[in-house]
Amino acid sequence: MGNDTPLKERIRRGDVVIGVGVPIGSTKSQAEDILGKDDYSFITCDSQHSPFSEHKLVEHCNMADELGIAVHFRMKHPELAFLIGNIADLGPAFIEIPLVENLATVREALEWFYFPPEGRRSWVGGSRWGAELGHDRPGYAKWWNENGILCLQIETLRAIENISTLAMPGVDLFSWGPADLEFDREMHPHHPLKTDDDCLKHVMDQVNDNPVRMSYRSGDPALRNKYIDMGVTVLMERAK
Amino acid sequence: MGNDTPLKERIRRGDTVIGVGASMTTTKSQLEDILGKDDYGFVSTDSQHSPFSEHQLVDFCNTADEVGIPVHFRIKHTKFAYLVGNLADLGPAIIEIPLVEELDTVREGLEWFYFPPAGRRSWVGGSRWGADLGHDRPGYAKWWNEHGMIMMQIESLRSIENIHKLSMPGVDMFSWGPADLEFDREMHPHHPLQTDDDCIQHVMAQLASEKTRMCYRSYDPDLRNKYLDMGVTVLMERPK
Repeated sequence: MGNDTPLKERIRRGDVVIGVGVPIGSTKSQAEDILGKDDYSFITCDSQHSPFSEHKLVEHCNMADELGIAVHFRMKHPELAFLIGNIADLGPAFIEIPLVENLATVREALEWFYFPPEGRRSWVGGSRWGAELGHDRPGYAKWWNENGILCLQIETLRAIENISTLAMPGVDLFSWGPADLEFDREMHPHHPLKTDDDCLKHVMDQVNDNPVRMSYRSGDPALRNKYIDMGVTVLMERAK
Repeated sequence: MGNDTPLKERIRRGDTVIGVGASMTTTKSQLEDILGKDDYGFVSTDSQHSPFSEHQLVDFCNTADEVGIPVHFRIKHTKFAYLVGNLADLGPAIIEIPLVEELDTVREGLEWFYFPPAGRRSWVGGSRWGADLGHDRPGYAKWWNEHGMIMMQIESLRSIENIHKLSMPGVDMFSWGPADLEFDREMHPHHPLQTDDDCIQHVMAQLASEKTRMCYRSYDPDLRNKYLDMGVTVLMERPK
């Protein structure tokens, strides 16, 4: 279930943490096969570019729970950042908002991700991560605020230029969207940041001054060291 | 189907009405068992903290229709107030908006809940409550406006302070969110309203001259008299 896994703490202190893609709808034995091939700390699944069913997310999180692995879930759209607490009610430990550019999106995500007093997430759904901790409202709220992980995906030059502003307290990590960022770089051919690596290095310099960590969808496990050498500490890979 | 049940009228005039909670996956025989244990006025289901599927809501409302009980449904988020008409197309008779604090939310909820001229709900879905009344557009719109019920959930001190303003014509009921309200009271330890009972008494005093009624999620049937004695007339309970 991840209750014994201080994943947020490991990420926050800069441990190298590897996640692996396990799509919603995977069976338990398929997930076991994937997890048996490396030392993964979370499984990652997506709704931004995949059909989404809340019931299937609950089933996926329950399956991961049985395997003792935390679930990362990417939401559909930044305009739905206010739904992050409702999504958390369905079981993920780790929620990512795509295409973040604006401080208003970050504020909204923080507001609905954390329980009071930090935020205003509403109490609560029976399928939440850590539900077995019981119905102690203040106790669970504190536990979630110390263990739930919030990730914002950076996919434009504008977001990169504002990265220091977006790194608000409560944001655990940024993630990277190289494909959408490439669209943006193609639209700004005279921008000083010419390559994906230029952009990442620029962001790492700024992120290193903050407690926020960087994750990268490296996909290929062979690229692991490249990004770790650049300062990325959380990687999302495809199954081996 | 509830067409013969003047539930809105009963609620408006202050009759005691008890609702009972049921998951959207409840079967017809399970629902019959639940309803056989007391004289319930409606069955209550939720999407705020539970996985939601519109198809499942339609199925659930059809099941409730077969056993002749109206459905209360809590929507996912305050920011979806504009969706109340679309959700009404799926079969509920009572729709609740959670975490209401702003007059704009109430206005938006009312605008999309009622058909013209009272609002601007769009014509219409085949799964709506009362679909057997047929395709007489003005007739059904009048029927819905006289029978559909809208409820605003009050879960913060700010809402309580503004309750008089939020009690706009067309709002049938307020409901209560004691857990989130407790978060808010913990953040305002010097507020004159120190307990949940203080808050509800304050609200009941404000609503004494209003047409809007109060509903409380009391869950435990043993608490029924406590809240009735405080002036609450609609209760939501768990099944016996």
